[in-house]
This record gives sequence, C-alpha cells and structure tokens, in this order.
Amino acid sequence: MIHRPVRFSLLGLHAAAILVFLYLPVVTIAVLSFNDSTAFALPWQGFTTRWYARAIANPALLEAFRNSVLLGVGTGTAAMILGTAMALAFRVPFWGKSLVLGLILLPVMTPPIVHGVALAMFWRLNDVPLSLYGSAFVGHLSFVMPFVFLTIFPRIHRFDRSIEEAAMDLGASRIATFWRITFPLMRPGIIASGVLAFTLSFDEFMRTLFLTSQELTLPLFLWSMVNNDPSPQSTAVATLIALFSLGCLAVWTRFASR
Amino acid sequence: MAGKRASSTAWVLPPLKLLPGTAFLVLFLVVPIALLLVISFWRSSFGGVKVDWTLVNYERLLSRPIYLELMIKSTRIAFTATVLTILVAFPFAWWIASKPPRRRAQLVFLVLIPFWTSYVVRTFAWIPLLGNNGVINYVLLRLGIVSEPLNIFLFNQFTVHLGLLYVYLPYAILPILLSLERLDRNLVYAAADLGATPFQQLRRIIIPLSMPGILGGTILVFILSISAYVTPALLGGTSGIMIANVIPDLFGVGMNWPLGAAVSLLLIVVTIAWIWLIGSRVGLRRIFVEG
Repeated sequence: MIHRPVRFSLLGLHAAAILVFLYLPVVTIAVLSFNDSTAFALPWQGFTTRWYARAIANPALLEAFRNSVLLGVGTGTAAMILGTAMALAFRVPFWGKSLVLGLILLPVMTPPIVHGVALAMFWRLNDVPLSLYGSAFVGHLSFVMPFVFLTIFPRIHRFDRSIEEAAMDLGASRIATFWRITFPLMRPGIIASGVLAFTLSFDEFMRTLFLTSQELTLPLFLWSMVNNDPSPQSTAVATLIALFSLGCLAVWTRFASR
Repeated sequence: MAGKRASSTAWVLPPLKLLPGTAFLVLFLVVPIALLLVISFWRSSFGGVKVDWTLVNYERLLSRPIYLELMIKSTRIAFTATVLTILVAFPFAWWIASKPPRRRAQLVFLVLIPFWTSYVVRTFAWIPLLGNNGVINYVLLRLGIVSEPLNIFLFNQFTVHLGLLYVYLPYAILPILLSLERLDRNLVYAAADLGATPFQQLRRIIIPLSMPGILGGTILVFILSISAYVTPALLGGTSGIMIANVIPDLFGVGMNWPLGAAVSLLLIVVTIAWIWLIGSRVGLRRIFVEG
C-alpha cells in the first residue's frame, strides 16, 4: 500500500508525457498554418488565414476532396454490407470456420505496400487500366472489410438469439425477422462500423498510391504537395484533413457508444 | 464450449452470407499475392514480364547487397520501434484502465483522435517541429542552449524510430487497453493482499493476463513498421531509407516487376515469420477476435 502513491504519480507523469507527445506535432502544424510567414516555421509573424484561402481556392484540392469522399462513401457502404453479412454468418458453427477467419484477418496482416503492389500487378497483367473507382475502390474495400467484421462480430456474439427465435415462432419469415428484429438492434453498431470504414478509406494512402492513375485522393494530394512544393499551404491542407477526420470520429462515437 | 459445439457440427457447410465477402478477399488479396509469387519466377521484359521460368530474380536479390541489407535494416528498425512502442504503450494503457469509466472514455477518445487522423498528416507534422528552421531549434536558439541550429533531429534513423513510434502508438495502446479492461482487478488486489510486490503483481498477474493485447499490438506495429514507406520517405533522409522505399521504383521507373515481386515476397516472408513467432504463443484467434 505504501508503494501506491509513488507508482501512480510516476504513471501519471508518463501518461502526461505521452499525451503531449501525441498532440504536440499536430497542434504545431495547426498553429503554424495560421502563421503569416512563407516558411512553415517559427518565429510567429502574425495571424493569417491566407494559407486556408489559397488552399480552398485550389481546384485540385477540391477535386481530391471530392474523390476521397466519394471513394470513402462507396467503400464504407460496400464494406458495411459485406462485413455485416460475414459477421452474421459467423454466429453458427460451420466447416472451415477458422480458415475463413484467417482469410478475413489476412488484409490486416498484409503489409500495405505488398497489397498495393500485388493488386497493381494483378490489374496490369489483366490489361485493366487503373482508376479511382475501379482498382483503387477494390483495393480499399479488400482492406477495409475485415475491420467492419472485427467491430461487428463481438456485438453479434453478445446478441441474444432467442429474440429472433421468438419472432420466427410467432410466424415472421427469416427476412422479416432480419429487417424487423436483428437489423434494428444492430443498427448503431453497423453504422459505427460504416463510419470507421469510411475513415479508413478516406485516410488510406499506400494502396491508393499504386492503384490510381491521374485522379488523386486527399492523402495523395497532400503527399505530392509535401514532396514537390512544401509551402505553408500544406500545413493548412494537413490541418483540414485532420479536422475532417475528427468530425468522422465524433459521428462514430455517437453510434459506437450505443 | 464453442469448440465442442463446432466439432460435433464440423460437417455443416458455411452459410451463403459468407460467400460475397470471402470470394472478394480471395480474388483481390489471395490471388494477387499468389500472382506476385509466380511473377517473381518470371523474367522482366520491356514494359512488363515474360513467361520464362527462372531463378534470376532471387539470384539478384541475394547477390546485390542493397536489398538484403535494406531488409535487415528494416527488420532491425521495425523490431526496435515495436519494442519501444509496447514499452511506452503498456504503462499508459494501464493508467487509463485504472481510471473510473467516464474518465476512461474521455481518455480513450484522446487516443482515438490520432488513431483516426491520416498518418501522412501525422508524419508530415514532425517536419516543421524537427527541421533546421524547426520549432525545436528555434526554441533552443532563443533559450541560448545552442548557438547554431542543430541538424541532428531530422532525416536520420533516429527520426524514423520516432516517427514510427508516434504514428503506431495508438495501434498498441488500444489492444492492450482492451485486454486490461477485461482483467479482473480483484486478482491484482488478491495478489497484493497475499504479499506480492508491485513488480510481482505486474509480472505474474497483469502481464500474463493482458498478453493477447500486448501480442496483438506487437504484431500490428511490427508489420506496419517493417513495411513503412511514408515515415522513412518524409523523415528518414538517405540514411533512414527502408525496404519499402525501393519497391515503387522497381514497379515504376526502374521497371523490373519480377525483381520487385521478389523483394515484396521477402517482406512477406519476414512478416509471416514474425506473426508465426508471436502468434504461436497465444493463437491469432484469441489475439484478434477475443482479445
């Protein structure tokens, strides 16, 4: 018991240091994005929003934003449907279950660059040109789907099947039981997984780099900006991307906590 | 119990609901990786590959020291970064787990924010902090601690370790936290009552019971670190370059797909070895589904 206060204050100190570590860089670029200086560095030269004005006036950025959102919505929706279906299937025992589980975990454990390169080769050897809503969409979906499964599976596992059985005993068809009983009960979890899937797709970089041709997503846009023209405008773009992700997280929290 | 039930109905066919998702994963993950394996035994030709079975790519992989050296270096960096990440994450997760539920939820949210933010953004964020004209140098100069800006912070292996630790820390904190939340605190109190020192409690009770989370984090952080591309490209400079940084050239400008495939497979082999080494201790199912 004597050890306790000492141990906890050391832990608290460590935790405080970690929180500073996690937030210092992101807060730094957010602050620097308002600095009226042509270098993204200190000293502070006064407050300006011109980097934001310049970023928002850039049609290529808006295009990239639109691409990322559309790709994310497409990926999120498809992943939500396929992942939920797989999680529902996992409620019953069947032959080859652990093999299928291994398959579902495979995208999580495949190095992103290997997945991207392998898919790019796959399309090229089949003479399919790379495109955002074709090859990149497929790449995103095959990476994001397992996350939907992994977040919905525990919820479904806890789910009381006797409610469904009662509905069917009372004459509801399997389809009616799903839409009137199972789905409404799982809806918050499914929506939360869809938001997670959207964000994973929205933030995806490595696979997209290999799987798109001319059309850029937001992370690719930032990447080319940082590599070719690292002006303070890139700090504004980075801050905007971070803020958008934060918004997604807020939406996710609303549904995930139910 | 679930295991028993599974064995008595082991002959039951998988539900049809499983088909679209699994077919998609087989076609767009298993087949492409198998294709990568096949291509690594073909010859490179102008603008593509030629079906001509050969071991020349593996010979080149082993004879040109650059690939093997980079692979060993990447493995070393990933190993160090993973160990560091787990060591930093564990006490932090323990601290969060010991808070009352409301407070814990707020803290988890604070960890989720970076987890949800693009790692390109988060890696880039270090440049204005560490560069020659960066914030740290500015502060050091203003405080009179140094008279010239230090160029030791950016573009070296130290920065790569730092960047990997930073980007992947939430990937270790969250699974460890999940395991710790499930741990019955009464076991720890019982051990303390029976006279176990804090160190003994940690070593005999807390760490063994949170193993699934620790190993899950170990696997994820290592895989993402060993194949890191963005972090070494943005923060590593020439001395911090890792294996993933040479792969795009082989598929792009350099155009030697079979050699690129062989290098990618080398990366897969090391990854599998690591998963096998770690996963054989607990079982992947416990780590990712129950843990």
